[in-house]
Amino acid sequence: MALRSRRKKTPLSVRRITWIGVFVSQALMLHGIERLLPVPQLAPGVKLGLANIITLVALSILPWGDAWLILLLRSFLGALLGGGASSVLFSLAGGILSFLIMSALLKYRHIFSTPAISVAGAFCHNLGQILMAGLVVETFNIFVYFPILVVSALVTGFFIGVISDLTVNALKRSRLTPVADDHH
Amino acid sequence: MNKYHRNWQNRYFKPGDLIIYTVLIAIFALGTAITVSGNKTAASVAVVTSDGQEVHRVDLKKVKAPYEFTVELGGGHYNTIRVENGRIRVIEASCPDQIDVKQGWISLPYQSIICLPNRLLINILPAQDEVEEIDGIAF
Amino acid sequence: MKLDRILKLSIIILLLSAVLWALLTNDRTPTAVSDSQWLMGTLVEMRVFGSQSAMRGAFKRIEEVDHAMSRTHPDSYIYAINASAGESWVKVDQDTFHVIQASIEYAALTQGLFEPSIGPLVELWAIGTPRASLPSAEAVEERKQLINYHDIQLDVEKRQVKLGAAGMGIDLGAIAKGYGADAAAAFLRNQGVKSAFLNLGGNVYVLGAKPDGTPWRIGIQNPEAPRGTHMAVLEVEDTSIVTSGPYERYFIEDGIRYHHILDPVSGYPAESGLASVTIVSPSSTAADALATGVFILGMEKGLELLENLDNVEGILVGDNRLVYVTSGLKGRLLSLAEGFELYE
Repeated sequence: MALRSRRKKTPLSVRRITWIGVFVSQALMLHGIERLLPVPQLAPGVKLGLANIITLVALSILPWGDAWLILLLRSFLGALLGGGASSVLFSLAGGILSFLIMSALLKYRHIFSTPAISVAGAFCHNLGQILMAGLVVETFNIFVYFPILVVSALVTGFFIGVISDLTVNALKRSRLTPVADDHH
Repeated sequence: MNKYHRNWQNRYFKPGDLIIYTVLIAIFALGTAITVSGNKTAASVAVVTSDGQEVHRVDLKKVKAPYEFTVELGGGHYNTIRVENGRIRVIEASCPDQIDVKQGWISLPYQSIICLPNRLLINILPAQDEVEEIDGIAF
Repeated sequence: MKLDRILKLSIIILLLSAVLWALLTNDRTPTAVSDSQWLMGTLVEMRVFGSQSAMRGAFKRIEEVDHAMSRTHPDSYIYAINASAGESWVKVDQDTFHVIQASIEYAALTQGLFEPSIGPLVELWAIGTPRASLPSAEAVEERKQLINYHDIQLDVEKRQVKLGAAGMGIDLGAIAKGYGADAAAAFLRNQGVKSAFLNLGGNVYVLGAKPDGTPWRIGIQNPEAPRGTHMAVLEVEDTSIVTSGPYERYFIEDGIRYHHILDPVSGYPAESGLASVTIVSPSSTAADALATGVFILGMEKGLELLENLDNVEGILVGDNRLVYVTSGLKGRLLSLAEGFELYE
């Protein structure tokens, strides 16, 4: 539906498809880099979330539907490349939740800064994964993990937000943006 | 709008951010509160079952005044149980072997009193939000 | 326009295939069902990662074993065999025949200290019943004469059993729970269950690993502390752990404690210097029988026997709180309680 409403404004061009491809491959690369980094596993679902950079950048410069497609593609392919079937569910649960909150907050980007939006997204990403873990392992008390989720979201989210902000600005300056910056 | 914007034209902080950070801090506090209170309350719940039916459940740490009650199975079979702060025991029973009475107090997770003749079982549950130290016990 | 439709279609296909893939390969994330029932004269607990019907079936299997092998139940095969002792053959079901056969094997392995024909002595002492009391020396001597597992006659072809002399009696109390655990576990495996925890009054059987892939952590009863207090922990998968100790059932008369592990040679509760014996084996039948047999055999002979058997390991705790483990368990005993010392 989102696609149809935007059809007139932004027809699906070769340019957009190229951007989708570039973002997906970059997300997968970041995903791979993150797996190489020795980040301590503080709680199930807690991670650096480098690939969130792509979601945030895509949401900033691409139509909503394209960013959505990138998210699904990277979750799916990321699981294929390493992780396995159950990680699709985890990845989607975290990805969708953080995508929804970030796209909602981005509509009010005049009052929310990119790092803050990213922090909210990071928290929701971890929350989605932990909710999924709660479904898989019953009698799993998710509240115990709330404090650690908040702290890690503040640290990693802010960091990711700053990087995304710099990336978006660089892209805009480069005038390579696929569509006009019409996303509100 | 413009004036407003200019005042807050900081790249990494805008007024709305306060909302996001406040919500997160609230979640932090909520999680901490639940964890702390959960540790206090869930740590030693005793469950009494008679012939497979739960007949009594008490949080031993919340017992203020000691009390006693009797579980009857029918046919003259009974066990009288005493509960005090932090511990529970059988003080009188109709069973011939009296093993349950002799066993005395139990107070720690996984400890149990079993009275086979009267099909009575008293279990102390492990804390829910801790990782279970063991899954079961061979006795 | 066309590209847009392709895009939308691909999103749907992608989502569907991702969910389908997750569902198919994930084997449906198992949820736990658990229940406990009074069977085989004890509390039987199960925690099964699978369906409710699989667990019910497993309880049913234990009920069948209980019904077939109870010494006291008038409908059981064992009751019938004992009632026809010295007179006639009794046709039994496969379970019972198998367990009697196995019990004779374990009797041979333990020099007759694990004794399936100990029925008369068990009845005399009646430990765990209201009649429990110290019998006269004459009565003990008289009953001892009736114990001899060589006199259990088997007819493999007709699946019949007969006791050689009148007054003899089979008691499978030290092996039937193990067989019940094996039977229930086999049933669960057949139902496709990959992970389960069974506890038949202290006889533990773990099927597979825990659903998260980590091994089960099973505590070993501390022989000197209340039930449920462990003296050590073992991490295991697909195995049975059975502990025998004098603390399980006993009565006290004139200040002396008489426990339920009867030595068929002396006719009295076994005095072997052991506080408890724990057997770890994929066969719960073997573990159950050997826990009793090794307890009566004592430390030295018990360890020797266990080292000579395949797929059987043991933890023997002496009255002096020294803990001996067989070679297969070296280094695997975790968090040993204070006061106990591991013999290296």
